[in-house]
Amino acid sequence: MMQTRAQKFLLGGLLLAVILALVWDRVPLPDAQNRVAGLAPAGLGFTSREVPLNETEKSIFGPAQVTKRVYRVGRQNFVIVIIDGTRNRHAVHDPTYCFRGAGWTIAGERPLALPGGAGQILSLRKGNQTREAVYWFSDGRERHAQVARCWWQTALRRLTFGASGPAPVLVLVQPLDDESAAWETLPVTLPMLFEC
Amino acid sequence: MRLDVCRRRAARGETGGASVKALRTWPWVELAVLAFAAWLARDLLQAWHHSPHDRLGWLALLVWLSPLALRLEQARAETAANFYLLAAAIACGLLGQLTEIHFLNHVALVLALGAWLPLSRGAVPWLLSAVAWLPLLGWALAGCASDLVLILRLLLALAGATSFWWLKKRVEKQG
Repeated sequence: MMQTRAQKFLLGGLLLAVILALVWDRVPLPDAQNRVAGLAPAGLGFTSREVPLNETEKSIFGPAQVTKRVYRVGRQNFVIVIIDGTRNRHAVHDPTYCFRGAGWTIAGERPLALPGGAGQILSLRKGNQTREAVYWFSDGRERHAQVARCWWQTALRRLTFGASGPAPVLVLVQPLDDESAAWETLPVTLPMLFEC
Repeated sequence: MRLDVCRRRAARGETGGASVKALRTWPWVELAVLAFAAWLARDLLQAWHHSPHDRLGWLALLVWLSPLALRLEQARAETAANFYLLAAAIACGLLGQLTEIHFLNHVALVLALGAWLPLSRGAVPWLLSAVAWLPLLGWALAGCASDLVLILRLLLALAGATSFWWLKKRVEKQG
């Protein structure tokens, strides 16, 4: 097979790219498994039960580590989803995009002050239903609700094999019923959320 | 720089044993780069299948590909790929893979496909209109109804393809 100089250059680049891509993929990153798995299932004033992922969720999350539980605090039930995207970064989506994809309209957004940063409260509407949800990204110390910052953090971690910092996890909290919640008291009612 | 890779099989009307010789002149390396970019962007299939705002994005891809398909049909005597765009596709794809940013992989596929058209003024808006079949557009328009997003995707892809032909003919007339 005759090859020009340019073709040889391309072939070399391609082989190098394939090798690098395969090698990079095989280097495991330190994940947030301890932080997510250590989430207390019960404690003073709250209990919980595991919620199995449905087939669509399993397909979307893939190898990412996901914890989905319903926590009962007093009379209120909260669905809590925590996603560590270390093994599948794309499992961590922009929550507003996911809600819109599920047919919800974002009627409003406002920040929520949290230990180590801030989260975001979403007011959701679908037909006659209204609901609220709160999300934030946490690396165990700092909390924020900026999707681009999370992408940047995870990209940098991948490039540096995890040396740039701990893995950020997505924490999503929703009341189970059609109601709002006293979000400002979240650090008191569900304190274990701030340990991951 | 254009790669000196000419496929003359169709022009010569080669058949049978001669096709073996013709196979040697196929742009295998360039096709391998395209295959690499397509493999990196394989998540597009999942996005088009699962995400409501990316649904049927492959239709926009087909519309967007029309200048390329027509060119291959009309110019079978000479199929050449742009070296710089292919090199950029490799670099972009590698960076996307190392950082796990799918958007970069999608751009790599756009570049690897775009390399098969002559890089001209007409090709620039066409290349940019590739956003019509990318999940990036669905994310940017997440506030709109998914049906509307699909219509916008198709219109954008059509506008990109049309602009390519319009600018090409304009340049030909001026020339």
